[in-house]
Amino acid sequence: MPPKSASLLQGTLDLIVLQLLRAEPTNGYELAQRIQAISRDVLNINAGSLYPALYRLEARDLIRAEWEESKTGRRVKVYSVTAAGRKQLAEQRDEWTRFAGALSAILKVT
Amino acid sequence: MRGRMEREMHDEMAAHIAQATERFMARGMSERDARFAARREFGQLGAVQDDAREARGGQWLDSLAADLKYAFRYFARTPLTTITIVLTLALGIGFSSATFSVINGILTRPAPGVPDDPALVKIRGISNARPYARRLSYPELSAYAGLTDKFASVVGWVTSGVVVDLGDKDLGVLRARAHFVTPNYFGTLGIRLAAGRGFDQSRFDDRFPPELTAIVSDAFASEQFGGARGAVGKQVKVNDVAVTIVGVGPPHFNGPVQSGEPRTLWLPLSSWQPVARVSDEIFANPNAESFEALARLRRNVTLAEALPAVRVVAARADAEARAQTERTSTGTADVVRLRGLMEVTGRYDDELGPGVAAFTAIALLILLVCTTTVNSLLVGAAVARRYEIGVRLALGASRRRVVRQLLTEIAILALAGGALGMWAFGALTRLVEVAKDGFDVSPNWATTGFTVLYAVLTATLCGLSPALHATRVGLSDVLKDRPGGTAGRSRLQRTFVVAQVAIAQPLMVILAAVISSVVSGIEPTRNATLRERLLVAEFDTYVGFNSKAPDRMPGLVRRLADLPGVAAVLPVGLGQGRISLELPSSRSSGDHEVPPGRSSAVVFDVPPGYFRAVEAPIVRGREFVASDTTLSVTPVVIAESLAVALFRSSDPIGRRLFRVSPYDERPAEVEVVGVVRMEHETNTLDYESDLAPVFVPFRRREGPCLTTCILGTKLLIRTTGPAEPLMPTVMAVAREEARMVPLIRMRTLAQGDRLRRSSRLEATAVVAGCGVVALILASIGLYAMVSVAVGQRRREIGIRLALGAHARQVVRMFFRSGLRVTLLGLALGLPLSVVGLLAILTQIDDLPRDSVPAVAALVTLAVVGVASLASWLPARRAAGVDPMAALRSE
Repeated sequence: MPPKSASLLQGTLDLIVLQLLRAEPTNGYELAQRIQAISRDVLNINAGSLYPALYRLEARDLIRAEWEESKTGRRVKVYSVTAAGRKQLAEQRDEWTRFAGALSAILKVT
Repeated sequence: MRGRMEREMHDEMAAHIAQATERFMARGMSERDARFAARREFGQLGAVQDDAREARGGQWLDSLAADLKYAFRYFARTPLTTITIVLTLALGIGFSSATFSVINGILTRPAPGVPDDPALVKIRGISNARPYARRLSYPELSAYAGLTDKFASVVGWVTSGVVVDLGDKDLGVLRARAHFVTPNYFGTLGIRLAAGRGFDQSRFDDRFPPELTAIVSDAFASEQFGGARGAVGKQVKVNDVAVTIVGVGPPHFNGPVQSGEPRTLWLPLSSWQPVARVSDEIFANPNAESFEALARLRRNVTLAEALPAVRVVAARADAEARAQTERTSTGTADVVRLRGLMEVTGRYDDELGPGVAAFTAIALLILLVCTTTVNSLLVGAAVARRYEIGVRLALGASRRRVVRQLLTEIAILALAGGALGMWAFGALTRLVEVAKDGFDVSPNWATTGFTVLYAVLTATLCGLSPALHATRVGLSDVLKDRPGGTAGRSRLQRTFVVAQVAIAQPLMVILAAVISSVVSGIEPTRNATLRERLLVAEFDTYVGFNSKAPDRMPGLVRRLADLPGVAAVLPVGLGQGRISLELPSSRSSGDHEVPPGRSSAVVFDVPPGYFRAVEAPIVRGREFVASDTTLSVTPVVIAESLAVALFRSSDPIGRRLFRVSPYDERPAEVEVVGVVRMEHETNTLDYESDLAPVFVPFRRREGPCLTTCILGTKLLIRTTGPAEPLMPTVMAVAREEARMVPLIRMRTLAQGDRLRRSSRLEATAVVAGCGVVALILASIGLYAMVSVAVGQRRREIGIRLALGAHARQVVRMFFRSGLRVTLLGLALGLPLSVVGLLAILTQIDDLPRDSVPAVAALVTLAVVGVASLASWLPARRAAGVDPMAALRSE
């Protein structure tokens, strides 16, 4: 059973959302599916975590939303990253990369 | 916009679920199963929406609205509990706010109408002899005015009684209090007149020529001229000197220091000589201490900086004064913030202190009882709502949301209680006598805020704690009504009730003691007929310049004595206060018994014929004769009880005693010439003290009266029939015979008794009311506790009944638990009661000590009785539980 996504830190989720929306703007459902697929089921984000994250980012003007018609003709709310969001993403990516590098170095120690 | 955002969120999440449904259907599920799976995958829709809203921010207004709506729905479902909580909080907050504000008004605020300005200070003269307040001489006052580096301005004034003639023949003359002030008075105080203008003269030392103008108090203007505007420009005679009213003071203002005298006038100091007929040398005499002073500090000068300068001036003035007289005692001065009550030490403090302390203690206790009652009710309510809370949690509400909801409810209750309490406080303070005396008792927002905060905090802590616990316990346990942790909450409630009973008990004991002392003072007069035939008329023969005018009293006495229905007219003194009588030596070699050294007594000066008029028999010796006023050793007639106390069985006639008064520096020798049997409440004139009376011959005071002569002449008129119908005639004769002598008061002794009795009854009623309220509150708490216990244990009751227990046994079980709590509370409250009672005993002189055990027993019985009822009523409900229904409810 995949680990519960509730154990993810809030900040990491923001990073994930910004990154994926930058790659391709999409709606909440699709975003959750994409996270699960790309992480190969390691990360399973439920609606209770996702939507608060989306609304939080929207309130901070890091992403914006527009209603569009999907390919199946359904009306969906599509999110995309703003300029401020792209800037925030870049900063968070650098931070995460530094952290991951440090952790990796420590884990190599025998 | 908010509506649109909600709709969009709803649509978005619906779309999410729809897309997930499609996915599951693509895997082969039926539409129904797919939708079910999608919903399950999505999670609790409500909770997600809540969290999403919160993340969006700015939702607090919506949440608050929802919380409020839910809260009011809950209150509507439980009206009795809600009303009880609000009323109880209102009572606690209102009463304690009122008490603290009144105390604050008396002790810490300036007199009404005076700005609360920290720069205003009073320069107080202090006599080191007693120590006691002393007034200042004019040279000393001028010296303070010379401290221009410390004070921006200094004001001095002399107060004296005056006779005001408005020119109305029917009204006669009025007594009023006049302040002869340095002309910078109103300006320094920062007071704006309500009408008219100030004096023409304006500087501190403007003394010539005399300016014959006056500013009257607002109360005076309303009373005599129908309002402020009506007074300006009127000509009146003050001590027979024509004066023009040029202004009216602001409402409630009667002077910078509390005086309680509504008829007040201010005249410029330059008019003092012509109006009060004082001699010129008074301004130069360092020993003529007539003035009071206040000042306005310079900016950046503090009280502490001004004090040494004041002390130096005082020392110099004192030295100068003592150089010209034989006075041995010294004087000094200090400077303090201007407050309504300005006594240095002495009677005022002594009288107020214990009263203030007692009231504060009672107010705090009532607040405590009220809040513990409320808390007990809240705990009970929260325990009872476990099920509801459990369901809400099950439906997806977050813990935080539920807690916020409960907090909102508590806040609403506290605010409602606070608002109601403040309204009640306004009503209460209007009733209080003190407000009538002109003290400023408007709400002190600091204490109100504190009491509301205290109530809210404790209510929050105690209403919240069980709710928090309920949200933590496993939902299934709550929903199945398993005990799971409620025992702890019930214990909390039980603790509260114990505390309530423990607190209510000393409160009631104290109140009962006060009641019994008041009631014991209300004894029916034994000789009502006699007291209907004794009329006492008080005249102010010293006000104004009456003391220098020809004495009108002897003529008045003669004319009154000639009236039909009048048996005797006797001038009596106003009493000379408390003294102690001491035997010259405590040990007397000739006696077998050693008589006690001293006794306290109260002195009255009476003329010959007095004892006959009041029907008090002389049992030994003689009564006074006219020549007694000329003897070198003052003869005294003592009450029988005093004779026994001082002399036991030996004959007191001819014996000498020392009379020691707190105002004289040396004891005076007196000789006993008679012993009288006076029955308190029968023969005695209206005085309050319980001390035995001592009588001295009445001596009319001779000579001028320089400063505040508040002495008058009391006439005792003995009539053959009831005296009340003769009162108008007496008044008419007095107005004719002594036009310039104001009649202060006239009433029969019986009327005085009735007044005293009714005021004591009023006090008793108020105090009894408090006690009853305290008891009711404690019993509400107890009732709630037992009710909740019954409700919680329904299943257990059902089982017991089903297994064959009698309803009676079940009821007894709960009744006993309630009683146990009561008795525990009583036991805990006992030490508090003892302490409280001891404290009261030292304060109330006339508490009949024998009745103390009876009082305590009565209170205990009352508490147990009421508590038993409060336990029994809900316990009875246990008997009504249907065992089948109770067992089936799971």
